[in-house]
Amino acid sequence: MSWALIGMGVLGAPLLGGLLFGIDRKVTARLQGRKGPPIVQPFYDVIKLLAKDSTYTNRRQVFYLYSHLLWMLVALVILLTRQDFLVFVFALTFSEVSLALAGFATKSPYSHVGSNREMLQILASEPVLVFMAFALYLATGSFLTGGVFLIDEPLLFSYPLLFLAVLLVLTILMRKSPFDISSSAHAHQELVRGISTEFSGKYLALLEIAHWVELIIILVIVFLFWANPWWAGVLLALGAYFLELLIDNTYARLKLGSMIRTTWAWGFGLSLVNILYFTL
Amino acid sequence: MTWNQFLLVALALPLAVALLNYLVRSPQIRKGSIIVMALALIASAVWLHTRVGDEAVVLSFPWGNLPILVLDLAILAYIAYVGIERRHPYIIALAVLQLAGLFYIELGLRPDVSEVPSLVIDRLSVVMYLVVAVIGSIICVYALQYMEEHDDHAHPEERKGRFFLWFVLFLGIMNGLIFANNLFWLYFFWEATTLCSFELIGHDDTRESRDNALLALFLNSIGGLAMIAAIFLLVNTFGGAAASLFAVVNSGLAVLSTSFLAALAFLVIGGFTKAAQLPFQNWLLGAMVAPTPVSALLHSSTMVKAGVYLILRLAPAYSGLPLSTAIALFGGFTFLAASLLAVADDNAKRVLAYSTVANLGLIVACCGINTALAVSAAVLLIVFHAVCKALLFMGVGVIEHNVGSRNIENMEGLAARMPAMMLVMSIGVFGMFLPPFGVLFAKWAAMEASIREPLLVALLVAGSTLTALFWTKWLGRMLSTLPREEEEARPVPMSGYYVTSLGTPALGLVMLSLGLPAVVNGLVLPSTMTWYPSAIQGVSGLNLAAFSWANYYNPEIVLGNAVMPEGLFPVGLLFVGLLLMLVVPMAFFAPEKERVGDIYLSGENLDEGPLSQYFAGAMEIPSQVSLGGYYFRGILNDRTVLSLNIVAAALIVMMIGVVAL
Repeated sequence: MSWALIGMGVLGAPLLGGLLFGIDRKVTARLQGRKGPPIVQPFYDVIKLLAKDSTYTNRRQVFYLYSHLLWMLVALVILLTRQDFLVFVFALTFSEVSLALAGFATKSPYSHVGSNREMLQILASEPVLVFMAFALYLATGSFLTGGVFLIDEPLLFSYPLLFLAVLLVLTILMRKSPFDISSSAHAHQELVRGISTEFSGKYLALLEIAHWVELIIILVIVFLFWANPWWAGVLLALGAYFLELLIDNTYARLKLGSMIRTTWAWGFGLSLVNILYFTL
Repeated sequence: MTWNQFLLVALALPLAVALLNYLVRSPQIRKGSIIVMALALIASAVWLHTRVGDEAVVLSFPWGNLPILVLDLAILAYIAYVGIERRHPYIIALAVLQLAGLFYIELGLRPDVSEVPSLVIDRLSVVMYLVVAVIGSIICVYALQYMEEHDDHAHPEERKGRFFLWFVLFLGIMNGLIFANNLFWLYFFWEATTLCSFELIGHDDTRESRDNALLALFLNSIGGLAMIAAIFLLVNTFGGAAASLFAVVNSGLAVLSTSFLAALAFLVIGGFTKAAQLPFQNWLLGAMVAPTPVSALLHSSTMVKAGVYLILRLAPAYSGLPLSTAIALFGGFTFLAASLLAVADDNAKRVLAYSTVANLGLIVACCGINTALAVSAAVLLIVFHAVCKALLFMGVGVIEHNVGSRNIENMEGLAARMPAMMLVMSIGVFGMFLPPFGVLFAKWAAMEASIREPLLVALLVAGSTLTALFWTKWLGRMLSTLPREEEEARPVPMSGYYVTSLGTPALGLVMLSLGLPAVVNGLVLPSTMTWYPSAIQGVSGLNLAAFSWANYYNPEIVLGNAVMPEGLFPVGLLFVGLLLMLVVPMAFFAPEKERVGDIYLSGENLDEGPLSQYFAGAMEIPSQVSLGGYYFRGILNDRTVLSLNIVAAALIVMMIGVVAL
């Protein structure tokens, strides 16, 4: 199963992720009373970006952009091969840190603002994911994600509060309002796009593809909350995805401080209360 | 080589080289003797590694007990003299109390320590000796060049002689400390490291350095007093035979009497002061006024590592007691608090110092968790932290000499000006918190082991995230360069001493991380095996996805009809990731074929200067781009430090309370 699964994952995840982004744009357009682009529009965009003359501002910027995509894929592989969830969180963090460094690598005001905010987003999202690793252990006796496929009662039932915290964090990871502070997809909130300001051509395409992979990773995280039977998890993941779309379209983005306060108070708080409740 | 010859190399050789350099002030002799000593120490470390098996080597030198006692008294008398001369009442009081305690123990209790082995060398000592001998020697080589550039106009050779006296002596004393078993010997080496660090911190003889040296002396004297109190309690209750570290560790005496537990607690508190745990962290932060090699030495292989070494060594003795939980929570709190403080600092050396305090806190937390996995994580952290910190401090020293500042903001754009140093610093920083490097592996093990204490989990989770924040922030400042800046910049030449002393640990860090399974199986597991025989299992080899992985955890958890390990750290997979990270950009990126763009300045870029970093500002005035990092001074300030210190002090009081109950 292993090599085929890894191959399928590494190739399939961006395709599926891109498709979901297309659906996102369609749904968002419909919610706003527009017709919206075709569902495969994200692929057209990336193909066009790849065909463009690429410019870069700094060699290290390119290096860290590749690193962002590669470590995103490593994180995906760890998840797909049902390995240690804590190691997965570390790999994902490395990927996000690489993106922040790619933004920092150019002495440009806009990308620096974006990178600093990206760092704070990591600060906000990582703790909840680490708590999820501990929840996995407490529920299954192992840090490996494989465990959730074997337990009868879904993780969601014993960790409802943690699930809420994860939903909160998903908004950050998916870069959706109200937490899309490092770079926002909505032009009405941001005229110059934070962290990706200095990326162009195929390097911007790299970032897009990394986003697609990230989206799949996020959905798998939600899936783990109800992995047995598998279709329940898929429904849960899709439900969470459409919930995020709805929130994205009904909220404006928060300020930096509000994001930190919300995610640390609620994200950290809910997770900790849930873990303590489960252990005591 | 016999054991006596080994001890001559490990203890007497540094002493001889130190005295030689103090008496003969010739650059050639200094360089020659120190390089020879460095090679001899490294060779002796390799010899020791091959020589010591699972059985500890016991060496007795009863004739040494009296001279050691005399030296103890001499050091205390000198410390008291310093206190009187500098009018520091606390130092005088602490020294006098220690003297009184020592006199009372020797004359009042008259313990018979003739049966207590002076030195015991087991696998844990071997790991520590490898760290001290290899890292310490590399720092010595670095110091040879650094001190050439270090400002000292009046009496350069005389000052250098004095510097290398204490610097080299420090290595010999540290070696003694990690072998000492007789508590009076341990106490002597303990006080001698305090003295050495006092002399080295005050080396520059400015007002600031003298004050900070005094602070270090004061705070470490608290630790010295705690140790005397522990020795008193042990000897008073159990007699002279109890003045043995291994007797305490093996708890032959542990009838769980209050005085034994109190002695343990005092020894651990002594370790806290030396390891600069909150609220004692200020001496280590103040120590950065010393020349950089001193910081590198204090932070990586000596001094602070002596503190955690003692706590780690004692771990089996307090295993399973409430004291252990208290230590774990204390360490976890220090980890979080120091990481938080590191976020708010823009001084590179202070950030490194806070990170040291944080990592030592993590080691203390691991000792407190006190399971096989946790204790192994502690040993691993000691090794990898030493390599990383030595590298980072030496790097900051070189940068400081070139940039003229140790402020992180002034390191902006270092990537263009000193690409080699950028690489060194990147390896060091990545080594501290990113996969697949050893520190992260240890952190992973520590976190997975912490699951038994949910409160500790929360502390570690928060601390670990903050760690990522301050490292990335710093790396980001150094990376920040303008388009074409690197091509325009003139590279700074590096001395051969620097290339050697920075290149070895940088390469070593990568190799050790690559060979993580070998390090764990060959060094870490043997060092904890005696007391934690249920030891974690090292599984390496080809598996599921044809990646090799190390699985250092209970390998067989039965779940339904499947068997799976409790945790899994895929060393191979992560290194594949690292390799791809280096190879892929090289394969797909041809810089010469692509265009370098200007930075986006809202379309108001001006064509001034080669790097086009000016834009038309308000009133069309040309303005230069200037950026700065986030330091959160609004939330993190002196008040934060004070409240964190109070919490830490309360935790220590709680720890003593736990013993009393």
